[in-house]
Amino acid sequence: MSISKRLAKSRSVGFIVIAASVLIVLALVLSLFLVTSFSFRTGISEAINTQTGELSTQIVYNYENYVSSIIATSNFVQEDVNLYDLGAPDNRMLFSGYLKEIVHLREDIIKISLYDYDSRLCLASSDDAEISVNLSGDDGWFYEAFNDPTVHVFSVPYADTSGESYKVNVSKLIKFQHGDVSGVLKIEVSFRNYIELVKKSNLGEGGHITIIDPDYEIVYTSLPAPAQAREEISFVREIILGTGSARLGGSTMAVNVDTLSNTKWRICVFINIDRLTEIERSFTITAAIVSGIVLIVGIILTTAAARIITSPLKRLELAMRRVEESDYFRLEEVDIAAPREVEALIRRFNHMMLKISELVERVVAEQDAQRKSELKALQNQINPHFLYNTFDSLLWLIENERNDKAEEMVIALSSLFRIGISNDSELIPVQSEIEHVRNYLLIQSIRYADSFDYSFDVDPAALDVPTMKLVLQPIVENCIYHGLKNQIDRGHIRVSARVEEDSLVLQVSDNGYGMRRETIDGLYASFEDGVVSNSVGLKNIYQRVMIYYGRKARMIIESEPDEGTTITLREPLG
Amino acid sequence: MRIQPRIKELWVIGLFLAVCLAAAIQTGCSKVSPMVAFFVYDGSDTFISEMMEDITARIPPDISFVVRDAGNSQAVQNQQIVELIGKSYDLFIINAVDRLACSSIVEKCQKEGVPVVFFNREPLADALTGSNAFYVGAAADSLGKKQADMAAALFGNDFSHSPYDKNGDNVVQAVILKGEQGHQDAEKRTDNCVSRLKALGFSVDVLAVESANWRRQEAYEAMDRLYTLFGERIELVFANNDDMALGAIDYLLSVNVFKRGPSGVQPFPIVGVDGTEVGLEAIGEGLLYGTVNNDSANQGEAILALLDSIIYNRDMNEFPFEITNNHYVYIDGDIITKENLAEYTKIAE
Repeated sequence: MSISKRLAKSRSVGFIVIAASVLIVLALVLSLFLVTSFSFRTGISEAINTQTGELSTQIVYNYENYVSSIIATSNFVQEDVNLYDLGAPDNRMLFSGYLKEIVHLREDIIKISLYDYDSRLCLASSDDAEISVNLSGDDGWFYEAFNDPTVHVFSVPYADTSGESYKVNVSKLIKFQHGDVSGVLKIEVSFRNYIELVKKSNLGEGGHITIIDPDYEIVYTSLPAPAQAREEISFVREIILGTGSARLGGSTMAVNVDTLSNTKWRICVFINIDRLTEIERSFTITAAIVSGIVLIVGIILTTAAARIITSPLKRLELAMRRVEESDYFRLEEVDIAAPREVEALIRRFNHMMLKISELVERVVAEQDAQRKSELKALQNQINPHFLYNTFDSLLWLIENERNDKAEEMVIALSSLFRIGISNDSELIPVQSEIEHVRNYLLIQSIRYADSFDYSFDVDPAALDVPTMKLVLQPIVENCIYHGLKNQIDRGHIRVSARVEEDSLVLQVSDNGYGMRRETIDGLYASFEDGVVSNSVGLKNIYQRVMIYYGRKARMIIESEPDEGTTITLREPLG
Repeated sequence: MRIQPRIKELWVIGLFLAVCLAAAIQTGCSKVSPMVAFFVYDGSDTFISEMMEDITARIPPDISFVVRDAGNSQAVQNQQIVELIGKSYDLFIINAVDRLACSSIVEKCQKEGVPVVFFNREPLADALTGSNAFYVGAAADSLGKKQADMAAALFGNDFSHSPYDKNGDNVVQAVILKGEQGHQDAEKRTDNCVSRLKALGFSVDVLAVESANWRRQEAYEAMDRLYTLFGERIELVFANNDDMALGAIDYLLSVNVFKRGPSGVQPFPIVGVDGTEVGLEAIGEGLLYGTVNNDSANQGEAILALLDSIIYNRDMNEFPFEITNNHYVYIDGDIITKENLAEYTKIAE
């Protein structure tokens, strides 16, 4: 069984139409919703990434410019310090003046100083420098500079006693005295300007930057509460580099982690993207509502469409049921207002109802005709003429003291009536029908003083075959009255019955006048003229047989003038 | 009746194919060949771009690759790395903009399981951790030392009696044209050429260390300053690369201190590093005394060998190059002077 058949099995058209349409609408709405919200989300997250990336990059660029200007200064100093022999006090004075000028020009550089290998201060941009004071152990900038001679070391920002916040020590292992002496150059820088610049970036409410070292320790954070900064570090550990987003401090934050050049530090730029997620949420809600409305409208429309198709079908079904439930047939016309296919169906139904009513009428008419012709046949049995003639013959026999003949006739008459009167069935065995005809022929042969004789030729196989009753007697009567009655020669009537293939063949032959072709054709034509015959003749039999058996039954008239007539009746078996 | 189910089957197959196609597009599941991404710090750097051309020409055809140029911005390079890291690349080969960013890059790559090979810019000592992080680069120390060796060979055992000690004080007055300040190669070459020359028994007086950022034009300007300042006192110029050496030569030619000609004898020798085509030409013309071949071809060879080992998961014990400290492949260079120039010009051709 195909899937479509299985699906359609015992489901209403309405259900199928609605189910299919709802599925289609659902699929359409759902896919549309998914596609738009996916592309919208992608667009939004791309926008967030771009925005975060751009802002972060801008901050990093500012930082890089800033740091590279410091490093450029450091490089200048490194190159120039090589040119002086710092052993000479004059040179020291000169170079210290040079450093002072640099500090003077660069407001963010607070102090430049040069320490020798033994951590003694050799030179400084400020006069208050205490020469030959050893550094204390916690001055990491000095020792870290030795780790890699190629790298500038940036210390963690700190606030000094003068209230200057965000001071950073930049230190570098350098060579001076024409490359003969190693030492450490220290530049004290204020990052305040840079921090101010960062603060001007629009990072949204709660947006901030945090700078971390390679071990995820916080170097700097613009957050007022450093505890929160530590909270975000675990999130930064996941990102390592690049962008991401997370819920932090009650808002959705996009973060971009980038490296800071010339340091091992990373900068994490947190941007509040609540507004964007708000837009995204409202979009999702709007899209969901619109999808819902479309879905509901779709369902309503398809239900309506299904009803347009199914309601005429339901009316049709109702009409059919009324026909089915009523005890007698009644013409039902269904109101026609439906889609074309259903309308055609209803029109067919109405046609069918008309046809049925016609057929019913015909059946009623035919049954009526049947009853009438049977009645005629019966009436014929008790024809007063026949009775009078029979009794007249009996009287004559008794007067002539031919009692045995009279007895024979009385028995035949009573037997004739017994079969004719028994009204229990339309069909009787061929044996009874032959018996009936035999009685009739006996009575008539006595009455007509043996002016004809008769014979039977009945195939024993046909004896028990059922036949319509009272069909042979009228034919035989016809032979006696029309075929033999006035013949000078002794007439002969032969009645035969046999089974041929699928038919019972009853045949009555006489050797009377016979009929001409035209007469036969006229008879045939009168059989079919539709007028119910009042006479008992051949037409009455023909009509009875046709009503009972239909077109399978035949009545054949064969005749030669002066030779005789044979009338054959073929009744279908079974 | 037989047709209908077939049509249905076709639908199912079609649907299946569509889903497959979508999945393939989504995940790039049709990963037919290994993928390698190259990140270079600046495509306008001749040395790097020539090296990249050389490497990409020799990548096996079954390996697909992309090259990203950071335009000398670490921020841009970070974005490029982050963009490609989720796209199932099998190997990142990175020429970092900022050496100090390498540790973050290694951390990111190792979290995502992408092996990484750095080249040209050496990560700091503690940056390369784990099993799949490597560095391929010049043996910077050795290159500087070979510059000194070259000068020493030229000066002979007795510097004071050589024509190069112009003031006869038995001290080599040297000027150094340094590459980018803070670049490990610049620092190491600068340090090593001086210390080696001292170690070989010469007294060295470094008149100046000028940074010219590897560039010919900046070296021209630097030499202008230095020659104005020191003039005849300069007895030797060490340039951290050939381009800067040529910049210096450009200036010295312009002021007729250096002369083109068959004699090829200049007032003082200039020694470079790299062995670029133009550098070799200058040696041929007698303008540049010599150079140390910074063997980019050999470095490329090492990068390709690492690529092969990592992509095909080969035994590192059979790796054709020496690996220092499990992570570093240092490629040494050869001294090129006029005597052995022919071998290298042939190779260059």
